[in-house]
This record gives sequence, structure tokens and C-alpha cells, in this order.
Amino acid sequence: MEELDPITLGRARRGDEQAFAALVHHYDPGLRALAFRLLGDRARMDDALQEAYVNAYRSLPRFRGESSLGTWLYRIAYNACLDELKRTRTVVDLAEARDRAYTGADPLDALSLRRTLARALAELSLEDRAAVLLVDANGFDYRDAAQVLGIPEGTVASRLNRARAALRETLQETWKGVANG
Amino acid sequence: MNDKNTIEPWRDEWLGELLRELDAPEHRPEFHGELRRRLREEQHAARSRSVTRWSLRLAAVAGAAAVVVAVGGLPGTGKSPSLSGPQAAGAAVVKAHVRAALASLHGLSGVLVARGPSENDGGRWRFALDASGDLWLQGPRSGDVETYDASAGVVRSAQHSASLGGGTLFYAERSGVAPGPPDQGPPTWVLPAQYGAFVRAALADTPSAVESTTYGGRPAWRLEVRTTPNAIVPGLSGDHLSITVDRASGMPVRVVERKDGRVLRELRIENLEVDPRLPASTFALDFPAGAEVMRSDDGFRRTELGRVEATVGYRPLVPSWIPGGYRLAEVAVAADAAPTGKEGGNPPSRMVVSLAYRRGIDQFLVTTRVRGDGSWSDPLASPEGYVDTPAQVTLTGGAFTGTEADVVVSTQSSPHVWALGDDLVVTVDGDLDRTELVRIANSLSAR
Repeated sequence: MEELDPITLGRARRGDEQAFAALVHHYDPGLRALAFRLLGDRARMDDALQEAYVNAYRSLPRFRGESSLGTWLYRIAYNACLDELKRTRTVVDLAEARDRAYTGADPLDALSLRRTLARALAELSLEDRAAVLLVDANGFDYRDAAQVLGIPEGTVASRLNRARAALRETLQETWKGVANG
Repeated sequence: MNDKNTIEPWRDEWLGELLRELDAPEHRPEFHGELRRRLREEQHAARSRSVTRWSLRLAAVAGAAAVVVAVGGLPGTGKSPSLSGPQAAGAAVVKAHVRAALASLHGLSGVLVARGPSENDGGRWRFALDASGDLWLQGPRSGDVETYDASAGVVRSAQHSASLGGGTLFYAERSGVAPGPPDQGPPTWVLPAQYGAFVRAALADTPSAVESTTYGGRPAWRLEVRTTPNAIVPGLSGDHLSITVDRASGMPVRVVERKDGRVLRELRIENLEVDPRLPASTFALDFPAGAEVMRSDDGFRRTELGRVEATVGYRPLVPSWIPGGYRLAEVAVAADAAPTGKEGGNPPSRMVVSLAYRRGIDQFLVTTRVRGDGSWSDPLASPEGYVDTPAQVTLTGGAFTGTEADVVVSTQSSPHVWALGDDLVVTVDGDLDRTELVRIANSLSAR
């Protein structure tokens, strides 16, 4: 994950609104992907990321660089997602989440791995989903992922093993189905 | 090899590529506009907090003043060593007087004058505080006022905007305020501020000489103590503090922070009154009719000890031993509170119980919160740029028997101990020395 340049970071730390907007612009695609896949819909994704960005803005002057900015920001966003789940006390309907996971932009997607993967991802536990998104999709190493999730590295590894196995199994079954016509 | 301690990180590149191809929706159209509005509100709130932090620092000096005023103003009980002679006093002597006198202090008022490296660091503030925890601050601009009602947990303020300029006052009310650290407390909570924490830590633990000197032609004591500069802004952070105390009044009339012999900041107290007669209206702030008030809620609610379990789902852990003179003054609970620790890096605080004990204007707090998932670091860690060196102890009594705990007595945070139990995170923090901290932690039991 490419980090924000230090000059913009320095300006953002001093409360410069434009610099903070640049920070949001830089990290938002990855954070949206994470939040959407954890929460299952756009409204909740927006609510969680609003909270995350405000918390980050408030805490940024105290950011010491003990972790990378990205790790720090993802941790805030992950906690905001957990808060959002607890706040709304809504259990994500997996079937509904699967349907939402399908964007429907391309009719051929119905047979694509992408749709299958989105559905399989939605069926993972929140913890396993977060681990595989951070490490495999966002390029975090185990140490940084552990910091984001607030768990030991060994737990990251075990969650990854579980998530990868489940996703790969589903994908392979789909491939077989496609191949067999 | 199946060694659970060996982790061989790898990335599933194929899966990663597929995951990155999954779409995520754009934000709703009004998202960024809402965010800009909230960030501006946060800017305003931050300015208020900035004033509050400065107020904390000032109040800390006032608190330090109270300590030494108490020392100087001790009645002749015959139990405490005398500080009236010409010889240099040791920190232990000062400590003994402080311990003996704190319980009798009911309030303070005065004017704090500050100057610092930048123009914004200077100013004058009038202040008053009392033993119930209430606070009133006025300044630095005419019309700027901040009050804290401890029993209700409400901070109210009317302040000018430093960045916008002009004469417009901004009104704010912050309710549900925690009694104090590690949760963000009221401006009366003087201990975390640098100078007050230094004085208290020095009195609690650090061997520190007290030299005889003169100030303004009057006999005085001067505490000279080395301190560690902030690693982030070493040029703007001192390596030495001098606190000058007027002998006749016992008042710390001047606090100077130096770096390499160069003065960085100076604070002095004028017109200090001990136990002043303060009308009840001193701590009230009424907003003008029709004023737009920015309201926020930190989530803490005052309650009674017997009702804590109904909110948080566990019986409160109460110390069976506390130092003489302290009494339980506040019980507060919060189902959810802001994360603690450096950079707010700890897991979210859930089911928090905060017990505030007071003795005069001194205070210590016992807090517990649900541990939950995630890794924890010191909830009361020193501010950014400072490194704590905790002493590890094993608790030998109470609910946390056998638990490893960290004891921190530094110049940058208030003296505290914290421990990670199976289900709860506990902190004890305040006007206590190392032995008292551990003894309280060893005496916690469910009530």
C-alpha cells in the first residue's frame, strides 16, 4: 500500500483541511472496499467511514508514526465498522448481502468468479473476512494486519488459513461447474 | 514443521487479485459535504479542547500551588516536620507536609499568567476551583469562560475563535463527561498536565532536592528537576523545570521550563486565595437566549454504586483500602466510551466504570472496562513523544491476584498502575505514591 507523502501528512497533522481531504482521497478506495465488504451495504459503509475520518482528524495531531499512517487509519476504520455493527444492532442478512455483493453491471458477471467470490466472502465470519481483505487484497503484512485488527500475528495467520481455504473451495467448485457446462 | 510459534507470512496473490476486482460503491453524493461540515465542527471543538488543555496546564499549576500552599499553611499540629527554618528542605519533608494538609483544602482562586515560545502560548486566566471538583476559568480574551459541574458531568464554554478572529463567541456544552483519566475528563482534572504531574510525581517518588533561594526579595524554595524532552519536538520541550515556592505563603509563584539553559516557558500565579468564599453562581454559565450551542455527549452517567451492575453487567470493583482522608466522590458508568491509550490505539472502551475518590482538591480514580478482543497498551500512557518505563509488579490480592501490572510514575503522566485481567482492564491513577497505587490495586473486590 502506497503511503501518503510526508509533506501532505505534516499539513494534515496541523489541521489543514485541504491536506486532510487529500489524505481521505488517498486512502478512501481501500477503506471503502474494506468497510463495504464488512458491513454489507453502502449506507452503513458511509456512516462508519464518516466516523472513522472524523476520529482520524481528531487524533491525527497525536499520530506519532509508531505504525504507518495506513495501518493507523485502517485500524480506526475497522473499529468504526465494529462500532457501526454494534450501534445498529442489525444482523447482516447473508442472502441479502450476497445479492448486494453482485453489482450487476455486466450480465456476464452472473457466471463470473467475481460474483461467486463476493458471495463466498459475505459468508465468511467478519474476522476472517477482515484478515483476508487486509492481507491478500490490500497488501498488509501479518504484523500490520495484526495491529489493525488488534490481535496477535498468529491469529491473523489462522484466520487467513480459514478464509483462504473457504474462498478457494468455493471458487474451485464454480470453475468445475463452468467447465462442465 | 508444525511449530505454533513460527509464522511464515505469505500472500495469496491470485485470491488478492480477484478480491481487488470486487467493486465497492462510491459514497453517497452528500458524503463529502457532510464530512467537511463535521470536520469544521471538529475544528471548533478542537479549539475548545486546546483552551481546555491549556487550562489543564494552568489548573495543574494551581493544583501544585494548592499542594505547596497546604505545605506552607499547615497548622502547627506538631506531627509534621517544620519547613520554616533556613535549611534546604528534602522532598520527603515536603511530601509529609502535603500528605498531612491536603484534606483541609476546600478551594482556590487566583490569576495565572503565562508566556511561551509563541505568542499563542501567553495569556492571563482567572480561575477558581473547589473540593467538589467544580471549576471556573475566565480568559485569555474578555468573555471567554469555561465551567465544569462535577456532579452533573457537564462542561460549558463561551469562547472566541482563535482562527476566525472577530468578536463572536461560540457556545458549547459537553455532557456525560468522565470523572477523569484514562477517559477524557473535565478541565478540573489537573493531574495529567505536565507541571502538576511533575510536582506530584516528584513528591511521590523522585528524589528531588529543595534549595533555599529568594524570589522578589522574599525567602523561597526552589525545586530543580531534570526532565526528558519530548522526542517529537525536542526543541520546544524542556529538559529542566524550576518551581519557585514562596516560603511565607507556600505558593509556587513561578514555574520555568528550560531547554539547554534557555527559558522556553514561564507560568506564574498572582492573587492566589486559599479557601476563598465563592458564591454558588461562580461555577454556573448560562448561555444567552437563542444562542446556537454546540452540544456533545461523552457518554458517562453519574450513578450510585448499587446501580452500576445494571448498566455494565458486572459488579463494580471497589478498593477495600484507600489512603486516609479520601472518600468516594463520584460513580460514573458508560456503556461506550472513546478508546484510551496513545493515539487512541486501544480497543473501544465498553462498559466502563469510573470511581473518583477525593481528598480536598486531590483526586484518584479507579476505572474498569471490558477487555473484549484486541490488544491493549497502557490506557494512561504519556503523551506523544515521551516513552514510559513502567515497573512491573504481580498483584497479590483482590480480584486481580496473580495478574501482572505496570506501575508508572513519570513527569509526563499522573502516577498510575494498570493491569489486564481475564475480563477487565483496570487502572488506578491519581495523587498516590507507588506503594499506595499497588496497595489499592491489591485491594479491589467486587461489591
